[in-house]
Amino acid sequence: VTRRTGDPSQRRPGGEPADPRLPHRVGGVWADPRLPAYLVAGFAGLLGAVTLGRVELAAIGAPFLLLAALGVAGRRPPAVTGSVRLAMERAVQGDMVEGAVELEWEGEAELDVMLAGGHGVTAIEPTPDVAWHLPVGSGPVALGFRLRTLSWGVHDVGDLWVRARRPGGMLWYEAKLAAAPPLRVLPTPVRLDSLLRPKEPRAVAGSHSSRFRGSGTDFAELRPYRPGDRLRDISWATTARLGDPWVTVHHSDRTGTVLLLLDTVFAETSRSTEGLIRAARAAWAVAHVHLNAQDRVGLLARGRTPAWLPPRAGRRARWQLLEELLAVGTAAENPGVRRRTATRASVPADALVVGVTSLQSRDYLRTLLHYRRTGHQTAALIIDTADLLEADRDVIDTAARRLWLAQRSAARQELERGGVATALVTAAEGPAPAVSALRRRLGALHGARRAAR
Amino acid sequence: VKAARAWSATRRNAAVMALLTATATAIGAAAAGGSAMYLLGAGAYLAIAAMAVTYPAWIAPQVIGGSGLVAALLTGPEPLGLLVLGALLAGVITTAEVLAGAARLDRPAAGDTRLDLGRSAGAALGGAAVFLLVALVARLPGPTGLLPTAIAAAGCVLLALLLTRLADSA
Repeated sequence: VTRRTGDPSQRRPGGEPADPRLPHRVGGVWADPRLPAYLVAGFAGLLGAVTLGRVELAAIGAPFLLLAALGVAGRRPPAVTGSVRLAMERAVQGDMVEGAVELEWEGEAELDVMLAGGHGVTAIEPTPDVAWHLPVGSGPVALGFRLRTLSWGVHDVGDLWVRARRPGGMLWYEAKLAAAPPLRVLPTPVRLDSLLRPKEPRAVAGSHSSRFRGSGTDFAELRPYRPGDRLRDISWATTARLGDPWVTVHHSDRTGTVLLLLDTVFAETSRSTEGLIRAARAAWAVAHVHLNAQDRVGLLARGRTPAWLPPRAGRRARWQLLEELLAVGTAAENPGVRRRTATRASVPADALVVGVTSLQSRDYLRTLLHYRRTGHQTAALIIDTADLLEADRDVIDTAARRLWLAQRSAARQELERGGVATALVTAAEGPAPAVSALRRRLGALHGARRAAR
Repeated sequence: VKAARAWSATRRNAAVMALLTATATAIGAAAAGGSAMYLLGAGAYLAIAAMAVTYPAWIAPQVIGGSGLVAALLTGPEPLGLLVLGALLAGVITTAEVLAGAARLDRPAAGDTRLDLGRSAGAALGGAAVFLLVALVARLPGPTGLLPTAIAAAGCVLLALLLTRLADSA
């Protein structure tokens, strides 16, 4: 679900793509309620004077026409341009975030400025709303503001609205100039701990051995001795039995690489946070176990390079996971960014690719299938967000819901047909059963492929 | 952007001032008219002005109603003196200007809540002066209907020019 759509063809003079979050200028020039009143009263007086032949009626109309003329002549409201800037793009829940609104216009004008429609943040300064009244003056101006983050998630700080009027004018210019950049807010440590605490440590998705061999302790195979092998690796029992020197080969201590391919296409405030929580829990259920098993766990949400989680499954890893989820959420809202980051990343040859998705994006579906086709073990945890939809109000809503579920089911079948094991993470059961189911499916698929070979 | 906000003290004072001016205008009109019709008209004008305190869109009916009331007094069987009519017209304009000022104070930002009363007073005085001037000129001997026709034509030309300028600059 994309919250805003923009016209990607819009370009700034310099050629760089316009911010898709502020594609459409809303608003225009509006008249003060006095203007139509004065015009009607003025012309009615004059018309009455002419039609009724009562000269004195013109005297009533004339002052109103004069006032209307004075309110309009030379007082066309200025076109204001502006932007919103935040000092930081990510914060922790409860942090204070500073920002500034920059405005520019020509000539003398009186302005009302407001950041409206934000959520997840509250105004500290100015208060109670992030709004300013600028008395008659000229631009440019920069207006600082401070906000406090209330909840975690990707938050809209709001849209920049402005209303400008020339002194004494009866026309004003009102427009939505820009949208503030999104703010990624991470949960507090306490909230993070409660949010991503694994409920069932048995959940292991495809706990697998690495294809790479090394100086670990897990047995991999026996093979004839080659020059250069260490003497300590010689299996004396096998050597005695077969008559030739054989060595024991072990798996590396780092058993494998798991890449979590994150895809969050959730939107709409509270529902988006709930969707993010579910995706984060599912991703963390996989990441936590693999980190504990000394696997290398990477997150792939944007760009071409995975973000590798630190070896221990600590708070830093959880924060990093959430931040990647929030970042990909932002990218989903922003079609321009989405397009730029849709390039597939290079994935290590031995990596198990686990998608965490709500299956709303065709691009994402194709990416998963691509990794499967290129020989990676691939699985997908499908986050069920059906219960986050608003209740059906009419038959159209019901039909839309059924259509959406049918599309999701078709996408899941497409993944299965392509050799990608899938499991549904429901709100009631949490990620553990799905991860266990995925583990079984991966094991079965792996066995079937081995048998086929 | 619009949201229910508490009224600032300045806006409350402006609303009271607008209502007082409208009441004085209505009382003046009813007293000058001296009939039930004028009393009814004055009451309706006051009710419309009260509505305009909360809903700025009612400023247009307030101005049109007020000017209609003054026009009725001007063209009645016993025409009033120009000064009285000028004062009533100034009352209508003052009410509209103060109401518009109060509506502008309905803004989310705190801080500067000054009401430009000087501009309202200037508009009222200017309006009354133009009224008196045109009314006096209209009483000069001459062909009946020539002067208002000339003023109407001039007004139309002025408005056309203004609209053209706006369209060009938009």
